[in-house]
Amino acid sequence: MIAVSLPLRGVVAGLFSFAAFTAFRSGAAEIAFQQDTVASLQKAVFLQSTSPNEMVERRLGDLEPAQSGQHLERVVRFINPRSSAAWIELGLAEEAHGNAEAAESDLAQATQIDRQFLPAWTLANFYFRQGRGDAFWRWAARAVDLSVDRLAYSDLAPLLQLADRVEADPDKMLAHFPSAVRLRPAYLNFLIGSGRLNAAQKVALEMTADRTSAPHLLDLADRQIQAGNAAAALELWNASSGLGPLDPSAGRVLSNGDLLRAPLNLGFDWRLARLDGIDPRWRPSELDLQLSGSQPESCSLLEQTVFLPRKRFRLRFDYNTGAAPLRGLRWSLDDSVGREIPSSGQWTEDSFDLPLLKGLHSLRLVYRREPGTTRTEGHIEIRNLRLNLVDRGES
Amino acid sequence: MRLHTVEATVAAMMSVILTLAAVDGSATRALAAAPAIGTVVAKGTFRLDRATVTGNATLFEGTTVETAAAGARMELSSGAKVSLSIESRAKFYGDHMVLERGQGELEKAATVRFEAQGLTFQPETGNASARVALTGGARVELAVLGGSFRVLNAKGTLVANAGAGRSLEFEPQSTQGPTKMTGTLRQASGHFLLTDETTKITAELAASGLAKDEGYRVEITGAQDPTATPVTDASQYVRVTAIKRLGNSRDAAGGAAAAGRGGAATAGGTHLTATTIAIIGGVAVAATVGGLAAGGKLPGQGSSATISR
Repeated sequence: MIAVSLPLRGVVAGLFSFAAFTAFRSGAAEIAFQQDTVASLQKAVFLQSTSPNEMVERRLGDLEPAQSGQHLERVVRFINPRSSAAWIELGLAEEAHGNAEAAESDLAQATQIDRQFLPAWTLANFYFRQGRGDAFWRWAARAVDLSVDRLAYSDLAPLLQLADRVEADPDKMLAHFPSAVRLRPAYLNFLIGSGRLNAAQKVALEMTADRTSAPHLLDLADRQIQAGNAAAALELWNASSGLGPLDPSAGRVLSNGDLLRAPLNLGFDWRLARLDGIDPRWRPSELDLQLSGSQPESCSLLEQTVFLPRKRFRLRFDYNTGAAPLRGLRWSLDDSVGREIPSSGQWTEDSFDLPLLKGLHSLRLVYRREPGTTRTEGHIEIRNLRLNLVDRGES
Repeated sequence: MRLHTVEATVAAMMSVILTLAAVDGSATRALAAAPAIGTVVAKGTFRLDRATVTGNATLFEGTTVETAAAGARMELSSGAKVSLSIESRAKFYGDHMVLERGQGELEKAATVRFEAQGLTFQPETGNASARVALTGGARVELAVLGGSFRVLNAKGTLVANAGAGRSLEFEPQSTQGPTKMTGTLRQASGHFLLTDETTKITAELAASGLAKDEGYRVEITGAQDPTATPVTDASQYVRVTAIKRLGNSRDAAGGAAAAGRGGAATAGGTHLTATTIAIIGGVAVAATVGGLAAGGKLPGQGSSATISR
């Protein structure tokens, strides 16, 4: 048994009492904080007077907007001068009260402490609202540098929207960003989303050297087709599709006729039917279109948008419908429908003469239930599609 | 002759310029785009149009703000402040915002109004503050925290006046049904007037035999006549088709007692339940107790975090 002197016992008892008091006070502060009212939070501040708490002060700022500046000042001056979040809140509060100079200083302080995206983004927004172009571009570029590889393209849209509102010309806008190359896909996405296809085209053409950009360019080519902008679509398609270049004036208007590559279902490539009762299957050099008999009575099985010059074309193709007869298949160009393709149990060549049209048109393999028959069931294999100019003598 | 040539040249140049401008949408965009209408600040992430944003952003005309786990606070250039609760969505304009989901609070609104479910909540004073919430179905709840608000239906008809401390629930009806109001019938300068107890809307009533109910608390059913002009004190002119006396006493106290006995009445075609329901301008209105007004703060504006040590 160790003999403990009376004074030592007193010291130990004192220490225990102090610890118990501190624990009690801390617990009471916690309870007060959880009550989340101005009075209870003020009580929490009082209880924590020896170690004031940033969270309590900021919460008080939320509950007392008129005094938020004071609470945030206390945070950044006495509690946590390295709280970038508090500096940002303080800066925005100053801005809301019209104190632009103080706001700029506070927001700049946040960028000094925290070299991540949020302070730079906040300062860029501040300079935008203040109409200070040079400073805006500097901090917008900084924000892009800090985020371009981390944020989804769509999440860069707010920043691009600010930049676009200051400078709508794509070339001039991108010139402000040292990391323009990395920003382009997001910017292209933004422009497409805003429906500004001409501006998007400008940006896209700067991206053709980068093969990883191909999906973006093909998407834009598809949208240009939908918008009827044939030349723009063709320019992008030739630069990004990886298929042989199309050249309508030279009579090259069909893509992927040899079916060596799986149809992309967009742009100037083949689009396969996605309908109940139709099962299109691609294998290199060949398409097999299966009709279950439950397909719609009239539908498109296969389609390609072609950009035609005003010249006569003939589509030639090889097909095989197998042993079972297949009725109701025809080629069409827009509303002009060719004759029915006769069933053939062996590989056979057939053709379809396109009507004389110019511009963007839809070349389709269509099915229509023949009158007096049930919906057909079977399949057709197709390969070796060629769309050739027809010589005058030949026609 | 020469003048005509100059005019023709200028006209040709103008058409070329306009044609070129029309070729690309960007060319028609003014470089000095419309200015920002305010800022949005959140302690967390929110959606700005379709983009995810952390912290804060600049608001423009037509921007949609959508909150998730954290509420957001908007400071508009007009001086108005708007809070959006968690899981809420609103579209912002310089002079109004359209609440599409959840709950919002408008502070210091002078020139800014709330819209929800086709209703407009129009502040009458510069310091007016209110909470507005979509409470399910087509219902909208309004709790006036300060100042006063006028509530208009989609056609601009006044359907309620709400002062500080009032909490009302609105449900636009699918069809413009009859008008239903409750209050004490009074006569002024030969005109019969009734101020609805719930909506505080005063209507001039037209019907034969109203005089016998003067001074009594009554419930009237009728049709609003937009072609008739009510007297100065009234905002509606209602042709009464049915009138029901709710108390036996002519004094107001008797009426109030009768109101207390009204119980949970249900208006035809509406799901609102309260002691008294008014239907004005095709909108059912009921006073609510507690609800938004009882909340000391917007949900989601609070923090559930514990004190760090």
